Amino acid sequence: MNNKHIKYSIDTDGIAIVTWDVADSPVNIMNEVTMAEFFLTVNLAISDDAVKGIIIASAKKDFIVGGDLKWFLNYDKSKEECFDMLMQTNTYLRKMETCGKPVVAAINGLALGGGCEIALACHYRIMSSYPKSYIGLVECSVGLFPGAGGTQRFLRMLGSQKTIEYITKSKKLTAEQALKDGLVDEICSPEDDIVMLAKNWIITKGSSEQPWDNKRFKVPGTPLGVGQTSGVTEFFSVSNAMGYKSTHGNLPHIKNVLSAIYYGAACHIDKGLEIEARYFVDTLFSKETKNIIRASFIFINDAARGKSKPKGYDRVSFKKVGVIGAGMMGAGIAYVNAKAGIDVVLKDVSVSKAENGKGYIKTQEQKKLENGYTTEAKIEALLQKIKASDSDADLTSCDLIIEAVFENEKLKNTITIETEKVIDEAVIYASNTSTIPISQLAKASVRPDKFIGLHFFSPVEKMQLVEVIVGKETSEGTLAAAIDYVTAIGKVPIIVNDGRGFFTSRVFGKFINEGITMLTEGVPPAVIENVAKKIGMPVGPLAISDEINLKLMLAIMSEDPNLTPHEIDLRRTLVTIIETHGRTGKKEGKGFYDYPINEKKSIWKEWSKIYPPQASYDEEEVGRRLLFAMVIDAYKCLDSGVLQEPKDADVGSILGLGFPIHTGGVMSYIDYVGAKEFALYSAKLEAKYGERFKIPESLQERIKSAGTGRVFYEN
Amino acid sequence: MEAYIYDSVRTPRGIGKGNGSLAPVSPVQLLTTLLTALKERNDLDTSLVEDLIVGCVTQVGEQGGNIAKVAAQCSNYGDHLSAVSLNRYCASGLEAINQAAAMIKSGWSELIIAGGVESMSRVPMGIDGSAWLMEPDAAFGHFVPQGISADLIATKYGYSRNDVDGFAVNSQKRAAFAQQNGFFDKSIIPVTDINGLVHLAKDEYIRANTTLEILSKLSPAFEKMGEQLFDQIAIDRYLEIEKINHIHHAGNSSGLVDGASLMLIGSKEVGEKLGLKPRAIIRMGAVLGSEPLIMLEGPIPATTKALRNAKMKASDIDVFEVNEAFAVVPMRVMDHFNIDHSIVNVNGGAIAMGHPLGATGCMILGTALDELERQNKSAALATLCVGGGMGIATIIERI
Repeated sequence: MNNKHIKYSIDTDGIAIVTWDVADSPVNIMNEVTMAEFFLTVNLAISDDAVKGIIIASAKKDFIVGGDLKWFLNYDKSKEECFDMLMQTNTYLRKMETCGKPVVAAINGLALGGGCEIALACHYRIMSSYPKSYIGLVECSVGLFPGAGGTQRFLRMLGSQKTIEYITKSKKLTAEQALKDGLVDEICSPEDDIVMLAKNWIITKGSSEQPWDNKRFKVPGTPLGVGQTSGVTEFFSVSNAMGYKSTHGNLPHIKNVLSAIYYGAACHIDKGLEIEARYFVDTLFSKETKNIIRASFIFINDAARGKSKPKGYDRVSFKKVGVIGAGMMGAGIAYVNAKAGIDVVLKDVSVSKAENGKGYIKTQEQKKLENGYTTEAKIEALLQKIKASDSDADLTSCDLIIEAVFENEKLKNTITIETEKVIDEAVIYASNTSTIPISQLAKASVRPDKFIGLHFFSPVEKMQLVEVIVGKETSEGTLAAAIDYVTAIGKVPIIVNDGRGFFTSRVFGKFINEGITMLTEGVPPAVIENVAKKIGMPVGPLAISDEINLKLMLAIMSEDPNLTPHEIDLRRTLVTIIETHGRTGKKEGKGFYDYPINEKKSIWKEWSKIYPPQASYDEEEVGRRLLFAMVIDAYKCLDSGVLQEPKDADVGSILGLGFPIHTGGVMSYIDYVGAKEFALYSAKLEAKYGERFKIPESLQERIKSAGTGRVFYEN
Repeated sequence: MEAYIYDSVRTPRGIGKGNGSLAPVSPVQLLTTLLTALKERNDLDTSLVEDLIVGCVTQVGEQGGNIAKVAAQCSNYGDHLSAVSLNRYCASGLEAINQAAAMIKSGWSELIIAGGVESMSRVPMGIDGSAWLMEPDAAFGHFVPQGISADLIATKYGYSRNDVDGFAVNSQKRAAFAQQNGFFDKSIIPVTDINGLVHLAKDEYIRANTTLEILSKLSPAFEKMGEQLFDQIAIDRYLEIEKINHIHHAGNSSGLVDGASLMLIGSKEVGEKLGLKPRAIIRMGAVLGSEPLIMLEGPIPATTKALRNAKMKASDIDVFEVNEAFAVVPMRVMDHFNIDHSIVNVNGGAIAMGHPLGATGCMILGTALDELERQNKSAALATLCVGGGMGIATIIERI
């Protein structure tokens, strides 16, 4: 046998050991090649009369970590071929289940996705309980679902309720949890010889029948004619509603996985596997799933690993960071640094103010403690890493400074000058400004090459994105080190060249502007908000305006010398809303919404008098205006060099703006809609609503030359 | 040819829980009680009865299979009597009447007994499952429980909690008054045990002493499930609604009860042969589908259709019965057609007396007939909202 990835041996007791050891890879990953080798090897063991039992094992630290998502993304065969491929896998796994020889999975570490599915097709599972050992079907987290029998075997082991919960939430279980649920049959400690335990089971007990191959088997909690017992009906009803509520029906894989489980529940396992394959094919071929895989697994993962870092710079590590300003942002930044094991000096004008910032961190950690996610000792250790200070002297030993004070240029400049007096020449100085151009702030610096923008998002501990803002004089080395830093604290950097509003604030502004414009045109405010959420935005443009505050929005607009005529109109509208109607935002309790104490916010009733509602509205147009406005502006960022690559726009829009992931992000959106349709619809919007929907020449060109293909990425 | 109602009977409505007075009585027994009564009080030659059409919603367990045929067999009407069970959700009982009338008007049959039955204590609502709720193709992004639909209608048209509670209190008062004055006695057949001793002789769900204040203390029944699960589906369809105002609760929605109702329907000729005097003519029946998410708006187009096909106007109707599935349903019908409350659900409705799903349609038509006779008026219309988005209406006129 000429195997590259799967080792094979037979011991003196006649037990075959099939060991996964994928070449040139730190982990065992499933793809066409490794799967083919695996099944050939298993078949060899099945057909060899000398073999009494089979053990599936791993030579790596982990068992099998799942399928190759890149292969899925670039899958270029037909639906028929895809279905046949899945059914072939099912046939092989069924053959393994029914071969009459006991098969054991020796799960020595992670068994995720397809790795879990192979284990489920064994007659017995032993799992090592080392702390990072998890088993689970996690495909839903990347827009897919289990396609190698996982839905049907889970269903038959756990019943529909847990199956739906675990699969839709991509739940990973520890060995102990898996034992409790009956997903594994035995657990061992990391020191135990797991293969020896597997052999013992084969020799002493060795059953070779799956429960579902017993004639009297019934799917737990789901008898034939799905839902004939009370409770099951309600459960499926609730699952559908939850699946819809969390996705607005935008993610086909969720409905498809519910379908595979629902329809499969009344079938024999073989028909159930077939149903799963049918829905898997539909899912894999959906543009939404490809978008999710590309955006989350490829682009965001790459960015998180610092792939955008300029070449030729060694990795820089950071031991101590000085954060100036202990408000919400400063405290959040200190928090994520401490969590990443970096010492922090949190400086404000007084120690008590700095301590307030630490207080915020403590409050957040207390919430986690209440839910059992941390311990008193851990909280204490975390807070120990943060020194509250009011003295510049404490900053001298820091190897990175992050300024996070109020958005006031003079104040920021003063701090730059004062701080640079005490820090080392080699230290990078970053401002967390969200609005002021970095090159402008760098004028106050004596070392503008070391000056850079690190734009964190609020709340810092939850938001993954950091915009790394490159000023005119920022050096490449500074940029490289900044990327190292951002990835070290577990955030995702995108590189943005200096410009007003950088990337995310600028593009998000278009979303807000369009929402307010529609209100003034007489689109009912509830429609604007509801459509925004229905198309996948986390929050409506009017609610978010109230959060930002209309006065701040007006101030930012007023500072911008390059407003378009539409924006000038909008600025006037804002003045009227603020001054005539007295509506400013959440802080004052009076914005687009009312904010009654102890009650949920509700849209201010007077808008219908101020902007009388139109007789009807076009739902599709409302949604497209909100997204097209962002997409066209994001393209302009790309066109003018604010961004270097379309994938930065996709990553930034998904993580920073909550742009719907099923579209793939703000650039992928053009191909999601279809490039031709995008151009046609933009032209229609331009004719109806003006210049802002005109798409740049270069995009027109790209759309033309793409023909029927994609504009941005091959897949 | 015309179809005539020769008689109309119903059981009292028992509380639809395990300790309700009719809980020990099976739905087959409820039907045989009425079949026996029809036979006895009309001195009926049962050999002339051709078919038994029974509406029943939860057709599983002892209501499963074809419950109508089981009742026919237990009725001693004779082996010739065929029977069919049907399910048009809450319209089933009225659908049975309409189908019987259509059979007779077409000349296919001469004499039919039609109506409905539901024992909600013995066969709980929803236990039969349904693709409507479960199957992703049907349910995902589409299904919401009826209470959410009722609250959606209230929100859409601006009915307040106080409005619907006021309607509910009125329903109770009317039902109690009608009961005290014997308005239901003509049709109610007491349900008795094997010895002839009474299980239940009158509707037991009525709460005559209900007040606005008592109702105002009840929590909205669909608020939690709405906010956690279903409201989003409704809002994504009805985008102009910011938030659903949950105002329905057990006190202003129909009660779960047990009961059955039947009518003897036949041609003019068969009536003459039997020596029976027709009480009313079934003028028109109509049924149609409506938007399934808001679901309960069907009575309005169904009423319009029935009136149009009968060449009548709303103002030609003397008595309306609009099933009180939820208070907002009859309120919408009244407001849409501009009908005075004084001629709608004159003797209360399902909020006070309960809604035995499959039986209700026939039951409220019988109530309307009794009321026409009591007031010596001419025309009545009964209509119901129907699960999944349908509406049904039937118009009768006294001879």
